Parts: sequence; C-alpha cells; structure tokens
Amino acid sequence: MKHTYRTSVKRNTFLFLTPSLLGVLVFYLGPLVVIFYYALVSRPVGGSFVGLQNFKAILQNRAFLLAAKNTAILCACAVPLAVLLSMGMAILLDREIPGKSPIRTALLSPIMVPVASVVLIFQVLFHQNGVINAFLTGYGLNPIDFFHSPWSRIMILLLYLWKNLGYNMILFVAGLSSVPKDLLEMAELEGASGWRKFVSIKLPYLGPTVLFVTVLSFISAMKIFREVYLLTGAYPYESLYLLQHFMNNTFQSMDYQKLSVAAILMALAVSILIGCLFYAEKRIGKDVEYT
Amino acid sequence: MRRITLILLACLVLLSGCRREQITPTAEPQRELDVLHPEQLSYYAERINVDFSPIAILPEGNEVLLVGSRESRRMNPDTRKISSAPFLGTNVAAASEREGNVYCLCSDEDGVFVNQNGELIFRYGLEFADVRSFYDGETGIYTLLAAPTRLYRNEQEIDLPEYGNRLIDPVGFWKLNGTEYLAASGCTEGTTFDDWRPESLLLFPLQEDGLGEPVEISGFSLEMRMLSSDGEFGYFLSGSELYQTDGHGLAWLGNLTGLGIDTARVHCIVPISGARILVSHGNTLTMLCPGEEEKDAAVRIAVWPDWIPDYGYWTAAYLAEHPDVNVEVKAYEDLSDLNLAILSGEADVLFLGSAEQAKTYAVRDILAPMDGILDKERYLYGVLKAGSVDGCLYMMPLNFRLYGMCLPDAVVEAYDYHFENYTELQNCLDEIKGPAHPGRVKEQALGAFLSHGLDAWVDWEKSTADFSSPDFIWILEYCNQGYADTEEYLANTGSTGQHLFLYSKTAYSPYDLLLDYQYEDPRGSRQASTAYGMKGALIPSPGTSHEGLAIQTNFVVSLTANGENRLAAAEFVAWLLSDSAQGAYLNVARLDNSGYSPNRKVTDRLLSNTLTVESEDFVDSARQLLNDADHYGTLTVTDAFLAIIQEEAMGYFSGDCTAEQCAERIQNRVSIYMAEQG
Repeated sequence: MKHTYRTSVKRNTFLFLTPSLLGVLVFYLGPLVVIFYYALVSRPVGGSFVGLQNFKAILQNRAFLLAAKNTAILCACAVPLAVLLSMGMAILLDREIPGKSPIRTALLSPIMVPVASVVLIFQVLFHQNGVINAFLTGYGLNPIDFFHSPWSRIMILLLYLWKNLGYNMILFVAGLSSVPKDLLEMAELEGASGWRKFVSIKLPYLGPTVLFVTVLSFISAMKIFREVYLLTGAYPYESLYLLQHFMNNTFQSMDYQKLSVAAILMALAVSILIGCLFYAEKRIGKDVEYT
Repeated sequence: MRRITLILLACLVLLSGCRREQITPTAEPQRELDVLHPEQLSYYAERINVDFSPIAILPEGNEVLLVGSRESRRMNPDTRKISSAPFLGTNVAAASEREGNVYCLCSDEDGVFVNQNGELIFRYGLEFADVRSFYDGETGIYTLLAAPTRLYRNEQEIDLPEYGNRLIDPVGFWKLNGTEYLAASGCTEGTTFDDWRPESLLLFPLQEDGLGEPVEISGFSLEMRMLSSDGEFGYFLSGSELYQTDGHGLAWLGNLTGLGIDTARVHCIVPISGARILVSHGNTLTMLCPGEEEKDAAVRIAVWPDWIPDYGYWTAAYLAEHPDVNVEVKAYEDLSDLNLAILSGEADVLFLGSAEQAKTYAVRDILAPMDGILDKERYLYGVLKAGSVDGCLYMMPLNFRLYGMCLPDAVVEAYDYHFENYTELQNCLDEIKGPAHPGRVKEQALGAFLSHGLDAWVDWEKSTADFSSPDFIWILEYCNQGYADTEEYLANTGSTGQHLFLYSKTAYSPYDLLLDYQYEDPRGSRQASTAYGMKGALIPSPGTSHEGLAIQTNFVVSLTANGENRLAAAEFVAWLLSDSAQGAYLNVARLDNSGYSPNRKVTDRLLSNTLTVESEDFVDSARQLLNDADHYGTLTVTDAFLAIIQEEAMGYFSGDCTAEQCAERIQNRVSIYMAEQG
C-alpha cells in the first residue's frame, strides 16, 4: 500500500513537472546544444568539425574584443556604483528625515517610464543641439559632443543609474529591516560609532541583499544595450559598442559561428563572476545568524 | 462543476471575440454573379490566349467584354470561346460599365472622347495624355489623370484631397457597398530625399460637394507599386497579394506570383461566376479557379526585400513554359525571416535586392556555386567577375544598367578615360567650365557618389575601411555645396547650374550609351550634347578593385546550398539566364528602358538591333563598356553600412560638425562593421 502510494506520488510529481521539463528542454537545453554545435563547426548548414578554430578566430576579432572591453568597463563602473549609491540612499532613507516618502517615490518613478521615452529624454538632453549644450553655450562654454566623445560612456552610466537606483534602494531598505534591532541598541549602549555599527552589524546582515542587488545590477548593466541601441543604432561609436551589439549584428549577418562562440564565452564569464560573488557572500556572511 | 463550465464558457466567448475580423463583402454585384470568395481559398491558374492586352474586363451576362487599347473581344469564361465585339474607339485609356451601358474613355491629340455604347461623344477639351481612371457616377463625372496627378469633376479641376501629413497618391475610383470612392495610397515621408512610402489605403467618398472624409483601410502591406483593382467589388492587388475590402474590413485572398501572374503588370482583376477571378496582366489573361493542381516538381523562391520589381514577370514567364512545375514565391520584408527560411531549407532560389547580402551569404557557404549550371562563355565577363566570391560564381543579375560618370570627352581624354584616384577626378571637375556645383540636394549628391560602390575606401578582403581619407572628405565638401533641400533645388533649377556633366550617369539602354541626351538641362528639358559643343564620355569611378563601370540592378539571383529542390532550382536559374528567356525579357525591358542582359548573345542582338545607324566602332565600344562593367554599385537596399554614412553625413550637412569630424565619425562606426566581418 505504502509502495503504491509512493509510486503514485512519484508518477504525479513527474506528470506535474513534465510541462516545465519540456519547456526547459525545448527552450534552454535544445538551443544550448545547437549553440555548442555551431561553435564547433565551420558553417551552419552542412559544416565540418573545426575544433576550437572558431574560438581562436573570435579571440582575434577586433569587434568582439572591443565589445567585450566596453561591456566589462561598463559593468565594472556601473555595478559597484549602483550597489553603493543605492545602499547609501537606503541608509539615508532608513533614518527619520523630512520628505522621506516623496523622495522614495521620486527615486522609484524611473522604473515606470518606458524605455523609448527615456531614450527620447536623453536625446533631447544630450544631443549636439540639446538642452545641456544650449545651457553650456548660454554661459559661454564650449558645447560637448556627448555621443561622439568619452562623455558617451558617462551619459550611458547616468542613464543606467537613473533607471536602476530606485529599485535597488527598495531592496536595501527591505534588507535593512532584517537587521536585529536589539543588536543595534546593544552597540548604541556600548558607544559604537555609526560607521562601526554599519561595518560590524548592518553590512554582514545585508550580505545576501548585496549579492542579490549586485547580480540584479549586473543583469541590468548587460541589458543597457536596449537603451544604447535605441540611442545610437546597430553600429554605435566605438566606446558604446557592447557585446549585445556584436551578437545582434552577427545574428543579422548569419554569422552563427561567431554568435555561438561569443554567447558561450559570455555565459562562461557571467557564470564565473556570479560564482565568485556567491563565494564572497558565503565568506562574509558566515558569522551572521538570521532570526 | 458549474464553476468550471462557467469558466469554459467565458473562455469560449473570449476566444470567439479574438477571431480575426471576417468580412462579408457587401458590395452587391449588379449582375447575377457569385462573388463571395472565402478567405485564403486555394486557386489554380488557367492561361487564356488572347492576341491583345485587355486593359479592362467588363462582365456582360454569361460573358465578359475584354477591352483593349484599340480593340475589344467577348469571351465566354466557361467555354473560353472568344468572339468579336464592337469597336469602342482608339487609344482607350479606361472603361467601365453602368446600367448596361459601356463607357470608354478614349484620348487623342485634341481631347477625349467617351464611347457610350458605340456612340463617340466628345466630352472634354483637355489633353488627356495619361488617364488613370474615370468614373461616370451619380455624384458627377470624375476623371483622374496621372503624371502629374490631377483630379477633375464635371470638367472642373478639383484639389487632391488631404489627409494629415500623408502624401495622397490616387489610384482610381471604386464603388463599394453602393458608395463611390476615390481610392488612394496614403504615403508617409521616409528618411531620405523624395522617399515616400505608402502606408495605408484611403477611400475618399465622392459627394455632391466634393470629397468626404476618408475611410482608412490598414492592416496589410501596401506596396510601392500601384494598386490594381476591379473598381467595383473591392478586389485589389497590392504587390503580389490579392485582397478584398468592403470599404471597412479586409480579407486576404492569397499571393498570385506562384500562379504565373506577372503581378507588376496587372491591368485589372474581375470576379466572375463560380468563385473564379479573371486577371489581365501584360499580354496575358489568366483565370484563377478554386481548387488545387498536382504538379511534378517544385521551386521555392525567396524574395528580399518584398518590393523588388519584376520577380513576378520571371515566375510568370517560367510557368507559362513549364506548367508542370510548382513555383512558390515568398517575399520577405525582414532579413531575419529570410535567414531563418534559408537555414531551414525553405528557399531554393533567392532573389536578393542587395549584392552585398548575397556576398555575405556566399562567404558563409550558404549559397551554392552556379559555375556547374551555367556555361560561362555565354555571359559577359564583368558580370561573372562581379558575382564571384573566391573564384566561384554565386550571383547573377537578370538584367542590369550601367552606372558611371559622364564627363567631357576632351577633358577625360587626358586621363586616358580612367581616374586613378579621387584627386584626379577633383582636378577634372575643376577643369570643367561652369560653376563647380553638385547640382543636386546634398544627400542626393552623396548618394550618387556612393552608388558607384565603396571599394575606393573599403578593402573587403582585408575587412578594413578608410573613410577618413582626403578623397572622402573632398566628396563630403563637394556634396555640401549642393542644395539644402528640394525647395531650394526647385527654386534654383531655372536659373543656376550649368551641370552639363555629372558624376553619376545611369545608362538604361543602348541609346543612353550614345550620350546624345547626356546632359540634364536645369531648365527642365534634356539637351543634345551638340547644344553645348562638347562630347561626353562614360567612365568608371575611381576605385581600387574595379576597372569598369558599375553594374546597377534591382536584384541578383542565387541558389541556396541546402534547398530541398536543388535540381529543379538549378534548372530554373539556368532557364532564367537562357537565350530564350533573356531574349523574351528584352522585349519587355526595351519597352521599360530598363537595361541590358548578362547574356552575351542577347546583348549583342540588342546593340545591333537598336544601334543600326551607328558605326561598327560605336557598337564595339558599347559592347566593350558592357563587358567591362565588373562590380556592383550599391543597390537599391540601404544596408547598415550605407545608413551609417548617410546618417553621419546629415550631421555635417546640417552644420553640426566639420567634414573631417564627420569622416572620422564614419570611420569610427564603419570600422566596427568591418571588424565584425573579419
């Protein structure tokens, strides 16, 4: 009887899982196999096995290297800034300050603005004949060519932060609420400084939130391609050329070998990075006891 | 249980609401005809031999009246029997039928006659050179003239209707559901000069006091080609797709290209009894009958982009000779869709509007070489060279034009009719008398330069580009002397510019090679070279990897490597380029003035037939020009590469940056494109 029940549970479990498993198989594992196949053959139709030749070729491809460099620079600047600034704002809003609620709402509002509108606003602001340059020339300063100079990266960084800070901040506010109040009161009684309380109590408790926000910020940084694409098209200036541009363009030109190899290398890099983050979080948060 | 039943019922209601809007054509036929055609009905085609070109088909009881420009016939659609019909006048431009009366609009040099049941009545004192449509209805007699488009009501010219910022391009008069309309394409302005793209079909009701507010019919792809319509039952052809509208809804009835209909040359479409449709196209009459036909082989053609002209002619001509072959044509608007179709083996033959795209496919081994199926000796040397990648032939044009620079013979003689670089061209242009002015709108002038091809700045083999070179900067500066916009251009064409010689000249026909009508006179007419006392020469643009003129064509033909019907596809391509098919096309092309054949024998015949009065030397030099044309100029498709150049040049033309900065920006962006290809 027990055996029959277990068998029935197993069978039902399998039945309920089947649709999801099929989805994973068709939409994730299948394409993954195809990507690995494309990465190892000479051409998409009737190609011959070429080993790691495609990997070697892409590592010598200037466009891929440029895209990888730009994406790395963007992530290296944007992710820490997004984490630190949103954490700072969350700590600020955690205190009793006037206008707390309107500020929080204002910081969250960019999430609700559609991408096309954001891009339009940034075009109006940063165009050669845009608002900012009109302001600068009004004060006798030289206009800045935002789209065709090193300023372009800063412009994209600003756009990214403006769009993502609010959501990250909310996550940190939620994280801060999980810090035990009695620990903070104890530290207060023993005369710990604000910095000490932050480093020794709040930060360890915020570990999982930091990890989560970092991963989310990283994903958002990868997705900034959408805004860059709308602002500058498929072939932007060198400083704004990202990995997704490379992959999008190689897809359009049916260069599936390059596309597959780039996707594999990117997935590998992202996996390593996220693995490192998990490891760091485990190490930092090992002494924290959650209630 | 009851709750589940309710939920299911709600779902059913929702799903029924989501169904595509089905229309029931309410345009009541005035005759006893069954015109209700179900959507996406399968048809097979029957060709009916008629010895003239019917421009209108008017149902008359069990028969139809086929009205040609100079003659007419009666036909019984059931027996296919053709009999004589009354003379309806010469130069018939349009015909219609109302309450049993046949009205024909006939034009001659002095005016227009309307034939009312055999009686010719002189109606207007106007010179109707190009009557597009006329309608003798209850709210007045409307006449629509093309080129330039003018609209008349009861002999009075009335303004063309307006609708938002759309450019209205009238098609003709349609009567739907008892209401009379002026049908028009509503076009929106594109990104480049003089680029208007049709967006939607607009139906302006004809009223006692003029034209009413239009009904907009959208939800389908309106092609650049003029809509063909029956004018009464709402059947119309947009590109190759057949639709029906009742003035509100829309039904798609299928693609006609695979049925052997030359969709670019359709005169009229008329529904007849038995859910059949008569289509007059070119010199052919085709009856579409419901049902399917068994065929032996199949060739699937993928066309990209979907608006390239004349693919309908070729499939129709092939089907006329090979009725046992099933030809399927699918036109793609989006390149990604085409890529997927090729990869999945759904396309055997490609008609591509971009030679660059064909080259990209060839490099990726997606195309099959055509060397084995074509005897190369039979084709022009330059065309074979232009279509080859790594020594294998991957693409062929079915017809082409020559594109080069027309400059004074006396001046270019010193350069041995060939510029080594753009500095030499610059010196040459400086030598020409008259104002050094591009004579065009700025971006148009740049487009003319780019149309020569890009190999002066791009090394395709090494995947490098050099747009920051002084040569390119000079071109930018030269084009920047052009007119700012169309208005300025039109305001100045009467008084300025002696641009007798052009850096861009398209030679459409052997007559163009005579260079007699070489010079675009700004005063509106074309003047013979002798008017200026100088003879012109057609020479290639400076470039590193070409020696001859550029080949201009609407599309190239390629074979896919993994098509499922490779044998049939190879036979199809071989037929397209055969002496007989190319020779037959020559007659049509000569009428359209649209080019030369890649087939050596056919081109020789064209030259010797049309240039009979010229000397042997001239024919030889014309043959030499055609044989030496060895590279594709940029084709009609604006690809990513050209878009970058044009986009950045606009910044320079509007004064946002200097020519050097503009060239630097182009180089910056183009270098990424080139690096991706490497």
